[in-house]
Amino acid sequence: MTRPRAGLLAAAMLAALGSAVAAETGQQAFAREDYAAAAGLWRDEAAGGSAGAAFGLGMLNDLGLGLPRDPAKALRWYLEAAQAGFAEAQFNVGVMLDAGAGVPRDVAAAAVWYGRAAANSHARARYNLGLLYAAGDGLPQNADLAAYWLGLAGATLPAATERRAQLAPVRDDRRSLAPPTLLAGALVAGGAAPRAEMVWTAPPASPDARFLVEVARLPARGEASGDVLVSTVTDASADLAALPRSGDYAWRVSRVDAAAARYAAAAWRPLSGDGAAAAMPAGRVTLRINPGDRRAARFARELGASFFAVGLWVRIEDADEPATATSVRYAFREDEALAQGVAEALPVLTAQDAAFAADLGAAPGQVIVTLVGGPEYADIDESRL
Amino acid sequence: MSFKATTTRMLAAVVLVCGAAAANAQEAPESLKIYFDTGSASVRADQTGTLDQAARLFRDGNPIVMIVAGGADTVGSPDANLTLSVTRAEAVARGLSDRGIPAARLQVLGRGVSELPVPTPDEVAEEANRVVEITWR
Repeated sequence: MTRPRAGLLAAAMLAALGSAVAAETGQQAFAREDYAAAAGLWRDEAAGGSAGAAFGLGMLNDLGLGLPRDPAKALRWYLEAAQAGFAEAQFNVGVMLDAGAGVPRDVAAAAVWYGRAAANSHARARYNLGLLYAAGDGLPQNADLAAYWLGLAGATLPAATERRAQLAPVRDDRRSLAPPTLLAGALVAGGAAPRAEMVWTAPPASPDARFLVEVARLPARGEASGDVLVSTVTDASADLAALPRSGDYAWRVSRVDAAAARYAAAAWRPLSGDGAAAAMPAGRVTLRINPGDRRAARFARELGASFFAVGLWVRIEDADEPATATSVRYAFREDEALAQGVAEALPVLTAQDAAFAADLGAAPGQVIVTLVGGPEYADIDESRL
Repeated sequence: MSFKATTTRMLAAVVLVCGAAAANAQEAPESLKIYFDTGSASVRADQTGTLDQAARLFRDGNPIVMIVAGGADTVGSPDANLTLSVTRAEAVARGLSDRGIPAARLQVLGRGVSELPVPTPDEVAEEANRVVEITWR
């Protein structure tokens, strides 16, 4: 190799090095143990919305790397990253609250952050959450939920599998179908895919009972109904839900015992912003009409408006099989009064016509109305019906 | 006594060392202790809660090192007790690793009978000396 070429090569390498240094990230500075540089870079990145950078700043303050050790400041940075949905930061916030580091000890608050990290698949958070449920520490004791979380953690943490095997089974007289307590719901809008992070708790219920997590989009101004976007059945006490776009959302969790046709639901709660309590659904009515039944279609729209006026969310859809008579049905005993009220609102039915149908596939709080025909409308050409 | 001062004087067997950034001590408790039966190196069921407690103090992403230092009582020969103390420390390290603490964050030491928490003559089965101590730096 000749000298000039070597020189060119060196120059090219230097240029590459130069651009690499210019593009250095806080993480890279941290990796080469230049904590002062890392702090500066991470501050810029955190100001630009990087949760990873906020986590890094939390760590520098936590450990006193390149700046004085400050647990309270560390916790604030961890919290910023945690609120943005960064699982490791959520776990660390949980650990600091759990240990009383930089903040008075608060196991109940720690449990909530372990829950959000657990929903984000953080193994140690799942383990710690399982331990809290096993001991009834910061959360009501629940061996079922302890077993659930320790079971998931056991995929990578052998100690979780051992601890799970030692759990005392729940006594049957301690089981009840109680409404879940909603502990935390947050809309995490990081990046292009917003998601809900939700944490709740409940006492042990019958082995048949499962949680139903629902996320609804609240009606926008002038809209005639909101819409339930997510219905997830789970045994977990924390979950994520991908949402199509930012907006006003509400969530709730129900304990559903499908075999017994019973449920216990928490009240709907805004997921973000200040979704007005008035906008929360009091129940849901699905109006099914036979395709081409114009009287029923028009009547459904009128009914829908009056139902929405009393807080019921309405969905109008085509009946999947031809209906021969108007009916009102519900699938859970708790919805009997709601269904009777809906039946009474229909001219051809009375409250007694509301029919229980366990195999209906209706959600808790949902009444399914099949409309056949409707009032005579002067402007509908009867000959075409 | 600082950890550095300890290392220079101890009959130490360093099994696992990781080079990580130096850091100040964690919050209280300053150390956690796990006790063993005479001659045994398996963690008793009544001691696993302490392992959980240690795991619950260890934050994610931190280059903190947990020091797991084993000890033994004076029953038996010093050599056998050094080996036993290392085996005990390894058992505790395995318990922490089973709880998701990265092995690279654990420094395992055996102190044998060189630094008895409760000084005794030979052949005394003192439980306080059959201990693995978990500390942070």
